[in-house]
Amino acid sequence: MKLLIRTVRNYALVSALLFILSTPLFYWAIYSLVIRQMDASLIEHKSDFLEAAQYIDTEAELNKHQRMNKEFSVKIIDTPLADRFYTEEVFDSAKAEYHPYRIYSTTITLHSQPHELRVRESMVSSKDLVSAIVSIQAVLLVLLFIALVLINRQLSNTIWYPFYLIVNRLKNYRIDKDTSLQLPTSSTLEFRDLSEAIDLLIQKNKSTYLAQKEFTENASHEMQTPLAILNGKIDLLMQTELSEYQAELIGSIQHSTARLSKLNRNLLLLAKIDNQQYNSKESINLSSVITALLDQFEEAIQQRSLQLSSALDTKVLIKSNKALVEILMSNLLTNAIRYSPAGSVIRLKLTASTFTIQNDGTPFKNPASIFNRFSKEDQSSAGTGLGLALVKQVCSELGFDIRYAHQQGRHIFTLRFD
Amino acid sequence: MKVLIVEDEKELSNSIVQYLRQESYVCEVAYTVREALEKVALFDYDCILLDISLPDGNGLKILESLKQESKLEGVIIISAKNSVDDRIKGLNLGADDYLTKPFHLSELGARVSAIIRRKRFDGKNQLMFEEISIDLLGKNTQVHGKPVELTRKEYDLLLFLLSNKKRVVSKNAIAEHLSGDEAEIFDNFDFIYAHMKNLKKKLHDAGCHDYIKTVYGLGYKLEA
Repeated sequence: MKLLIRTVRNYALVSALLFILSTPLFYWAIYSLVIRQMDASLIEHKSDFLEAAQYIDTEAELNKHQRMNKEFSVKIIDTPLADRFYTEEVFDSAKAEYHPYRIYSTTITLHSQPHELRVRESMVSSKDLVSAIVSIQAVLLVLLFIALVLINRQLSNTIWYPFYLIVNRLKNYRIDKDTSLQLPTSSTLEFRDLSEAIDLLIQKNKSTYLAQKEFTENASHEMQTPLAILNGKIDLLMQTELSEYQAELIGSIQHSTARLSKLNRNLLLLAKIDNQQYNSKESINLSSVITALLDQFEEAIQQRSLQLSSALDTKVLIKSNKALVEILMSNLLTNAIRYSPAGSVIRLKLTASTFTIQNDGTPFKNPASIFNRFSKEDQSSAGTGLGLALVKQVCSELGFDIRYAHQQGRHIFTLRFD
Repeated sequence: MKVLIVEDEKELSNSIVQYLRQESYVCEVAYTVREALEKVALFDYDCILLDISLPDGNGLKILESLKQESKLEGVIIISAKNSVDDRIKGLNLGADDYLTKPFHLSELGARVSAIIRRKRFDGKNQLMFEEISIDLLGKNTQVHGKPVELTRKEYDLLLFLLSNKKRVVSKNAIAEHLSGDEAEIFDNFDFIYAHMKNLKKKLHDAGCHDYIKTVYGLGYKLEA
């Protein structure tokens, strides 16, 4: 959930709650104020009446006054009553409906006789006022809420801008390619802290990465000379008088040395691709690269009695690094030739955007890791375990995409280069 | 024939000296750029093996000074760096060949003898061994003066053995020599056996004595 939606949702919840609670409360508060005001005015009306009552001498006069001033009604009572205020619905014959009235009932003495005086006042206009005030308040609250959402959105666009920028930069950052992450310097303390923390982390990672990369390269380099010496000594040892047993031992030592040399060469190659020592680009006809490699491998193909079924589009041109493309194709072809069962068919297909190579074989036990370094299906195999890692590395360097699938008893590697 | 080996790794230069001596080359060793510069100023060599990374500087300096004195011996660069840039730089400065460490001494032997042959025989490049004669330019092989039709691989194989005669050449070295980096595509050395069998048969059919001996478990040796 987006941060904005989350905050707005919280605002909305609180506002709704506030609205629901405050409206009756507000209504009640205004209402009580109005009532108090009315009651005070009713008491004033009473004194008005008492003033007028001095000039009313007879019951007939009183009745007349009552008819003229509907808000007063006087009734003879036996015993004085306590003062009270109340609200009553009174039928309005003119409009044929009930209207609320505020009524003040009190006892007055007229002609030495206790009378109950009721002073009343219509509440219609006051009630309308109250509802008007409450509606205005409701509208204001809604407007306030809308304003909050808008302000929030605006804030998230401006205040959170550095944050989204940082996230974007982080997403696109590649430790092997980019030198540094150009993080924005925000005036907001939190984002500045975040930028600094990320910068620090990246610097540390970068130096660890570089150290590791350098180590691989240096280690492989440093191994070249001892390997050369070892090779030389074995070659010399072979020139001496040897028993069959000794010869056999030397043979297997040499075999292992050869493997070690090959491994080391591939590690160096990986390090070199890492270091982007293959930058130049030229126009390459892929089908001629593949055909040239197949010519080179012809002997191995014949030796294993493999069949080739190739459909190569001869017009496919790409702009890329020739050395890397050759390494890539060579490794894919070598793999297929080495691991196909003798007498099986290798299928090659080159179209304007993809190259597919298929060869027979049982599924890998761990297909997810086939592109990892030193991941070997059969640990005893003479392969270096770096072939497909090289393929992957070259692909990522050249911006190609390599995929593996196993279907109908065949390993299928699909290379997308567009 | 004099060969100068410029290589600071004593063990490696010793091995090279020992191996090349069997071919009756006179070998001298320099361990630093300074020593090498002194030696090339005083003597003429048929071939110089040059390591680029030396303790007191870059071996390419020696190449530059040779070029200035136009005493360009056949120079083979031996480097731990398999870098295209270095290779191109070296070859531009006049080196004849570039060999990446680690290498087989038999491979080095073949390159050295190729360079020496080229220098010695300018143009009329013929290699003779008993009744076998090879025209290196036309890549033709003759036995008792009669041509023998060899495939490219068989020709390469014969030349490789001749360049390392009287020495055991391992199957690994042959495989790498014939197939380069792609040697690993073969699970075994059966392809060498096949070429060897054909070569021996063709030579034998042409009336050639069987000079190629199988050294059990290791490889082959060509010896009169």
